[in-house]
Amino acid sequence: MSMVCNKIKEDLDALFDQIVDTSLSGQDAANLSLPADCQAHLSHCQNCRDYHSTNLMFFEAASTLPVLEVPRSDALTNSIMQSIIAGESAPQAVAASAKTYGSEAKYDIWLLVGSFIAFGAMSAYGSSLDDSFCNITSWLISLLLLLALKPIIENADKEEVVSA
Amino acid sequence: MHWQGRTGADDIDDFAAVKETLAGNRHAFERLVVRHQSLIYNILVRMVAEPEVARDLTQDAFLKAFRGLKQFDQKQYKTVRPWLVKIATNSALDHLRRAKSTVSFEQIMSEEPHLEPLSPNDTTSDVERILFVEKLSQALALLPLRYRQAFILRYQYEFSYDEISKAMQENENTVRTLLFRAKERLRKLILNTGKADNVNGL
Repeated sequence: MSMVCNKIKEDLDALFDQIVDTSLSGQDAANLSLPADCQAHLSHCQNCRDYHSTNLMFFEAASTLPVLEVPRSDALTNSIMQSIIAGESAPQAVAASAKTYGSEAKYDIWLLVGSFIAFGAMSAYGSSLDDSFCNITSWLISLLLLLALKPIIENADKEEVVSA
Repeated sequence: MHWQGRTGADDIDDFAAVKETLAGNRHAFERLVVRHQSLIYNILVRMVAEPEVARDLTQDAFLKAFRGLKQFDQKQYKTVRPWLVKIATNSALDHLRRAKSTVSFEQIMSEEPHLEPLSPNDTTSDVERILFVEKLSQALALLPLRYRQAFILRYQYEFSYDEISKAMQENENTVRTLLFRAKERLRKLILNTGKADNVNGL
């Protein structure tokens, strides 16, 4: 295949694209024509003529490829819309539960802080200072550990809620 | 039944349907479903070759589209259909990855799969144009998935290059290359079969 043939085929492909785009925009593809040098080449090159005619056959054949009917198309539309309507309540439920979950988390923190103050006060009142200090320190370490793990526990719970 | 082209009015109404759905009128989404389910279903049938699976994937694609409607960027997509095709294509690819098939997903996506030429026939006469369409349909099934999809979108559904690039998440130059190669493969499969008897593959 000569360099000239390659160039002509590029031009033919460009024309082919123009034909498709013209059809796409609803215009008349008959107004499109090959450049003069292309026509001259095609008049004596069988290979390029075949290339061009195959392009056109592809275009014609592709546009007439059978389009399958969607089986039970009305039922499919209804099924999609029902799933959408049914599914809409799920995200709302997730959002509501997440909101409740957030307020519960805040409540937990205040409960922990409150219990710590109460515990500290009771320990200081009912035992020696050293014992109280040890008790409070142990409790404080436990509390800090719990608070450190809290984000991980919360995330795991939220993922379960969303996947549900 | 053949593909009936869409109009500019359809595109405008698509955007209106998106807007109305986002505003809370979920029934507006039904217009998108009715207008595009045939396109999506047919593209999926070409991809997965199983009508029932394609039907399920069509439903799945529209549900995903509904859930992702807020992410739809009207500036990026000049029409709605490439966005829908992109979602459907991703669903089909997920399905093909999961499906236990005798042909691996890598083979389906392969640029150089083993192809058997179709039986030779002269396609020059008018009578055999019908056969040509039939052979084209068969040959398309033998093409690598990306070639097939690019060809179908461009020549059957008359997508613009921009729409195909959005639907396939490729740049326009890649789309042009895919189409060029698809046509070359089809040319070999359909027209050179007489010479291809001694060829094991393409």
